[in-house]
Amino acid sequence: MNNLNRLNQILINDKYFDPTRFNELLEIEVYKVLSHYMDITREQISTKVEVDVEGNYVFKCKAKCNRLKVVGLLK
Amino acid sequence: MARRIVITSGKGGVGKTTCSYLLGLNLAKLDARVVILDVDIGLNNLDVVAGIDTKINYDLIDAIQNRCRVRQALVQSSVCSRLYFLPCVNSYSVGRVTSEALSAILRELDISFDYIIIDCPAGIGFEFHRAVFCANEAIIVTTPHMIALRDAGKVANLLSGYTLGQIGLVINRVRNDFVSRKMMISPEEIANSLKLTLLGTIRESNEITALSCSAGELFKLNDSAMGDFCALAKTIHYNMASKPNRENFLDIKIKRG
Repeated sequence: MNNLNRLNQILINDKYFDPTRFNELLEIEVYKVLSHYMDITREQISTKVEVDVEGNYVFKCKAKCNRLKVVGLLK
Repeated sequence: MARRIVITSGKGGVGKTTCSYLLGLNLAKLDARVVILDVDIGLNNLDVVAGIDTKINYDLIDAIQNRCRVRQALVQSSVCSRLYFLPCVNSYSVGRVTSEALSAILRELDISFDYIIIDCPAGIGFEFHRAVFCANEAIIVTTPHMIALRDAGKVANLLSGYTLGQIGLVINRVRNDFVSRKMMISPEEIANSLKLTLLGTIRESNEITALSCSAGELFKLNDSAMGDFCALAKTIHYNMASKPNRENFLDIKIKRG
């Protein structure tokens, strides 16, 4: 492995961190936004932050809802 | 308002203080009013690097603790009249200096200078955050060595949590012969991996090493590295972010005791 690849590997590894608190805060923010548009609870949202092979953060969010709040939004 | 640039790195020994001093000197030569703050409280070295250690009457701590006015703690460079220092030598018996106290000092300097260069301590502890808190731009100084690059990456991640205008990268101690032989990662590749804007590279200099062995002689530097610092200063002064606001410019006159 050459020096550049080794550096990239080290930098990417260092980007992983304990995301428990970060995810919690992110979920609260996402919930606030989505709750305007969906009939949804906090438990129906899950978020995950990953790091891809180029060192970019990838934010993944899964939200299941019972119904969309279409009334008033489609005017 | 002055441009407040924090010079940081994470790892120690990569040339933060040398970079702060020579960048400040070259900015002053471009007709800017520059003050360099040593916020490395406890392990201060700027006074020795700049050769002002025998001229200090008051320091940053005296100004913070109201034993003198901020202007009284400033020391003018004997090399360039537009360059000032706010040293910190009163370091052993100091209580905790807060970010707010440091910010108050910087607000007083804002109107009199174009650039406030903050020489940040090594590490990522409270002292690091205190220095970054007061800045509106940051320059990460690193060497091309793997451990310094790793720390630079961590510092870049931490800086992204602050609302800084720019985070630039300066790579010190570059050896082009090593780069061409693929023994050293090129500055462009490093900047790309760290996802930072490369502001400049400083070539490895035996003269800097030699001058650093004595105190206050760095201004005599006259090799390719000085040219690199000059180019870096021009990049920052002319190309990076906004030009300094000179409307509220005040002349500073200091009485020497």
